[in-house]
Amino acid sequence: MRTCCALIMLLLLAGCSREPDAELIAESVYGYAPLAASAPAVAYFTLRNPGTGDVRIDAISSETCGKAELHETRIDAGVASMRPVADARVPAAGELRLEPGGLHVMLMPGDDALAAGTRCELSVRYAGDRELTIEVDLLPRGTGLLPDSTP
Amino acid sequence: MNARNVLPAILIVAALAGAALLYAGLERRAAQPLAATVLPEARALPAVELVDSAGQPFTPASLRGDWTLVFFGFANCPDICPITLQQLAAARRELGADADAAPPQILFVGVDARRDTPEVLASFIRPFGPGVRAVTGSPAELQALASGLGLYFRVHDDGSETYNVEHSSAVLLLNPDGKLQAIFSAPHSVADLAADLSVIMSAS
Repeated sequence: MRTCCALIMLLLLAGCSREPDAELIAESVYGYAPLAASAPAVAYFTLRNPGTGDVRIDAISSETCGKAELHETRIDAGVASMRPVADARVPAAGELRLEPGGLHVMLMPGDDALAAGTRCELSVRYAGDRELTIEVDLLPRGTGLLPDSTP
Repeated sequence: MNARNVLPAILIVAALAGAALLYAGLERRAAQPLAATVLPEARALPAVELVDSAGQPFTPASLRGDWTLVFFGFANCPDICPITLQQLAAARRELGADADAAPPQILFVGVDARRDTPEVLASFIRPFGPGVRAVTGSPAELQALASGLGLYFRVHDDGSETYNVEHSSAVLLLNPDGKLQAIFSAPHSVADLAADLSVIMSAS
């Protein structure tokens, strides 16, 4: 019985710490400069996982555009709110979409406003020690339609 | 006309009448709003005193004369607030092409009293073109306006610069009398907004 339990524990641990068998790929990358000097910029992209195991996102950071955080807009009972997301996962052979009205990266540069045209370098750390670098060009907001689906 | 010819004639007339009724029914259905909830009786707004993005006093009475789309949000919101304004501006533009009446103006209500200064709001609405106004005010006046419109907001001001603000995601339509006429619940679609606005505005 004890051997059986130990084997199950080992299998579970092996599953949790399994190295991903493929690198994450970033697609459909874009972002918007803030509309007010004190406001954050926002970045959207899709992370695609061609591997056979789910991949956990450990952290997102930026050396060029201030503090970066993964946030989610949610609408519950007609009320919109934003909250930090700490446990995002990219499913095996699937994708995690950051898009308007849902998951997004907030970029908070502090005292320096991020102007349209700025290129922000994002670092997505995943599966412990893997890292994906994404370059996001901040677009100006305008009267045109959104480049992606709308909420 | 003998009896043998009467029956086909009656059938043809009945078929034509049926087709006409069906067409009228489809027309009536097509003219119903798709996503909006239209109030059976328009509701007056509370007489609150706010300030606009030029720093000038503002009361809801100044909205009379035009249709107005109202959305509550905050300028530090990077996602849903600019997206919704972008959608409203797009619907307004789509409607402006063939509407009988002038397209509705857009009123953004900044509920984050500390950070939504007139200067910040002016910067926030500038990219969305003409026809967009922004107002803010004291927490008490903003709360009175929200309550009068049946909306909700809550500012989680913890002293930091990145605090969150919860707010209703609905867009409201005021009629040219400055009264609440219809409610658009999220999620919003530019096509539905434009179609419903056309129906509601032309029916009034």
